[in-house]
Amino acid sequence: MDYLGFLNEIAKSRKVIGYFDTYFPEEFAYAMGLHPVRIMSDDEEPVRANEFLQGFCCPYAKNILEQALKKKLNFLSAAIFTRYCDSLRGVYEVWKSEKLSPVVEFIRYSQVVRETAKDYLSLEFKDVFNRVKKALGCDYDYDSLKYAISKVNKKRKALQRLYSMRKEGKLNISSEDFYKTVFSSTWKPIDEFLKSCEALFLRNNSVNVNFDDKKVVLSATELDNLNFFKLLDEIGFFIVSDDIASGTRYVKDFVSEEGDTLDDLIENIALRYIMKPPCSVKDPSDRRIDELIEEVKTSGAKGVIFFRTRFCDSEGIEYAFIKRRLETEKIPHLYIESDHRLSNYQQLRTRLEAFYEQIVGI
Amino acid sequence: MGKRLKATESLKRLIKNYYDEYFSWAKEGKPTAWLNVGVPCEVFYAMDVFPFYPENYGAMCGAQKVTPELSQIAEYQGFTNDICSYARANIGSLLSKKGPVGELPIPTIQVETTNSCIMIMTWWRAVEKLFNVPTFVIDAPLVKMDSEGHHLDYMEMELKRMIDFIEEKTGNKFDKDRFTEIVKISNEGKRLWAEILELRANVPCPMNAGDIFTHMFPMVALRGTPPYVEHLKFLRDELKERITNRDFPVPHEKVRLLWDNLPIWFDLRLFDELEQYGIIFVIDTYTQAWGPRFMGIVDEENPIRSFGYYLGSGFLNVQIERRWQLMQDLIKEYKVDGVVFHSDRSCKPYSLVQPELSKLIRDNLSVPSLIIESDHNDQSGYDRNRVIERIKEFSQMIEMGRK
Ligand code: SF4
Ligand code: SF4
Repeated sequence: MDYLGFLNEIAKSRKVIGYFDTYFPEEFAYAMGLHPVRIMSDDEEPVRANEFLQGFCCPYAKNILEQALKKKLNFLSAAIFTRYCDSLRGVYEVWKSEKLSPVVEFIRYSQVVRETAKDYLSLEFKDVFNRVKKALGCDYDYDSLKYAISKVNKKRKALQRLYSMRKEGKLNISSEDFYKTVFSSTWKPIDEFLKSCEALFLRNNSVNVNFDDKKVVLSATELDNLNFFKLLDEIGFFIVSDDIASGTRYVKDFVSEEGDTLDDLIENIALRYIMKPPCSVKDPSDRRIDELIEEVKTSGAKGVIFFRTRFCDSEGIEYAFIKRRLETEKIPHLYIESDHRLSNYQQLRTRLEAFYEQIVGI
Repeated sequence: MGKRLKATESLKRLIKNYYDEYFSWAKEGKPTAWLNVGVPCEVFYAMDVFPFYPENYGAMCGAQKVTPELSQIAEYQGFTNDICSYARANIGSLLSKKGPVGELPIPTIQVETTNSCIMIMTWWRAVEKLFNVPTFVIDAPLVKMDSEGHHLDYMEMELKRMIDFIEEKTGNKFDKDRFTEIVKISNEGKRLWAEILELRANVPCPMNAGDIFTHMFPMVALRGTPPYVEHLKFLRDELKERITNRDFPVPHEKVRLLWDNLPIWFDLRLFDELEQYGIIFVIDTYTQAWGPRFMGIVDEENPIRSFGYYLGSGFLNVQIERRWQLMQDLIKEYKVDGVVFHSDRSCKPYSLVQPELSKLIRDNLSVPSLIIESDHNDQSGYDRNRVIERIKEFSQMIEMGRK
């Protein structure tokens, strides 16, 4: 069953809450018996969303709104936004004004990667999830939160294993299938996701493939259109690792399971989300660039493909520094710009093919 | 058309002195800081660190129409051409060492706050990385209506951290008494600014939008200094004089409009041009950001917390509910006949709620609105005649509706 069909089905037995970036602390949702889902882009052309958001809004963000306006996300009991970027902020304002889900919440998120934000963010999480508790008639306590933390950690552990197998040449699946699995971790129930990982581990345990020549690392913020990965497969690339918000930046770092009180656990969650590998909308973002370089080096990738969604401000600045760093490290890279629908598909294909020839040879 | 204020002459001197002073501080090796408009310059004046506002410099690039060429230089270095035109102009100017005032000195430190946009944080980061400038980010999470509870506590802590940062990086100490004196001066000017904004509610309006946008400068960069108070007094008195002498930019107003968003810095004359048709922008939302609603009188007994409150509840750090409230208040107080939304492609936090605000106005008030597309700082693609025609047609429609 596809992603939306699956979620509509799940919504019959459990309240589903939608989030839009990977700073959302999903542990709280699981602790309350809710099913958290990262809303992904689809191929809807913006029509209704154009009434609410101008042409210079990031198309990815606009697409999320389009889906809601077209009532495709009616299975959501709540939508919870964080302060992420200025385009998603615009989506949030419209979502709230147009009442696109029964509950619309906003986490007044900190923007800095500094431990000093921990106490503030812990209090903010408490406030927001207290309101969610009341609105949706659910609750969480020390035990349920501890259990949820360990569950999400298990999911991240399984994802980390998938990534290491990929790097070691032990996961002989296409990039499209790899990312289909990775992205499903943000919408499938955890147990189901873990089961599908187990099956993959078993199937591929003895495989040893050598994709050395074709290995590249992908860098982006939001990039969940599987057609893009399919295109990379068709050209011949092997995406060995990434620096994507819902890829390695989602997978790395666990929430500490230590602590005797509910407050301890909440602080652990706050700390993980503040200190996790940062997106360019957070500051400082150095860890992101450092780890991108590390991914390239440890995976033996031949180059980097940097994908920027048009009108994404933070990536529009960050790229200048990623470019410099890659040039200093003598790592070949390709900058491409598009939208979630890949509307310049042919041009992308030509440029990617040329890059393939450059790094792999014909 | 375009009746000039006498205060504009003294403003030019003020701006020149400010830039001269920045250059000489930098030359003498005295500490300087780049701040975004949300950061209180009062703290920096109190600590003998010269506060410089790149957004103001960006507006100067816009007014002198040099943004497109500076942007190209930034683009060449990998900065994309769809980010805020202030940032493009500033980065391009730094990289090329060119611009309206020549080579801009690199500051000793930078401080910015996230209370307007995410863009600005990455812009400051660019300068930090390009020129190794120690940079502090005042984390100001977006609020709904205003800063309160743990949010306000956090804002206060962030400002205290900022002071520690300034002390550490410049060696200059924070002196509470000196700060209190500066806060008093700042408050005096804020009262005058509030009066100036109120005087614009007079019918006819004594000051057009081009002038108020130009005269924002002391509110942005000079708060807490004696010339700022002097200038605002002069301006306030001149407006009062205009009202007494019935000497108005548009004596027979046909349509009183509200402007939403930053001005089009490269075409402030647009407002003069419209005067001949009896069209005047009597109020705008932009200069409100420095007005009593969003940057009010600081509590002299507890100034840091009070600054924290205004910083946390800054104009672009609140949500649509507060923008809508402001819109309704201004429409009423200024007897506004219509609202013009400048949809500024550079400024997402300001612009992306405009269609929804326009819908709220349409559904709840009997005031029409118009959305025009442009950029506040980059004239590429700007069609002046079309903008004028659209505002004229809009105004005619309002007049017709009255008949
Ligand atoms: S791609 Fe950039 S602008 Fe678009 S939603 Fe993601 S962070 Fe925001
Ligand atoms: S995006 Fe808007 S708020 Fe941010 S720097 Fe540009 S003009 Fe200012």
